[in-house]
Amino acid sequence: MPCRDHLVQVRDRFDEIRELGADALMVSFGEPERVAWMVEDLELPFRAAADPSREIYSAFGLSKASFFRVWHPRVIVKYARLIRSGMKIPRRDVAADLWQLGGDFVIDGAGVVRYAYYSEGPEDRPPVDELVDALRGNGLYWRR
Amino acid sequence: MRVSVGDRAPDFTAELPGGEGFSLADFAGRPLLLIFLRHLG
Repeated sequence: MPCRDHLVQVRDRFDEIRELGADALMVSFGEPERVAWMVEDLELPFRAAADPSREIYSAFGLSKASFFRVWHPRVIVKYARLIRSGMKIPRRDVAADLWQLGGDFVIDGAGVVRYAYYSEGPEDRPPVDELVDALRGNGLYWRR
Repeated sequence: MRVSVGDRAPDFTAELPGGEGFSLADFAGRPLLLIFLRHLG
């Protein structure tokens, strides 16, 4: 659900992202039909790629979390907050890998990484303000 | 291996839900926000 929440936040800022001349791409390790369901369910205005073999995850060095990081109290608190705020509980048959970690990257028009954020746990996502700022090209960032 | 700011982004090809393929090069010339999910839910 934190991923879902993060996508909704990016979706809600996507007009601003487009005005910067930028684009966004969601990458999931789910099968293409599951990714299509997610795009439709969240009404995402940007493209989404299916990477079931996780070749792209591997190319960007996205690793897996430890047992203790996945079940950290911060994760439980984040999920509880999202449920209380009305976020839907994931369908039981969705593609899930409790251990896979996500991340956010900004790549400039020349193909150079300008921002890299490696999530440390399921609840860990960068502020969308920071992503938009990186897309504006405001300095070089490095986060984890 | 992790990528760092200033590195050239790894090129990749991917499949869109409709079966269309594309690569990072298709986004050349404009900044791209890449969001990797950990869960489809």
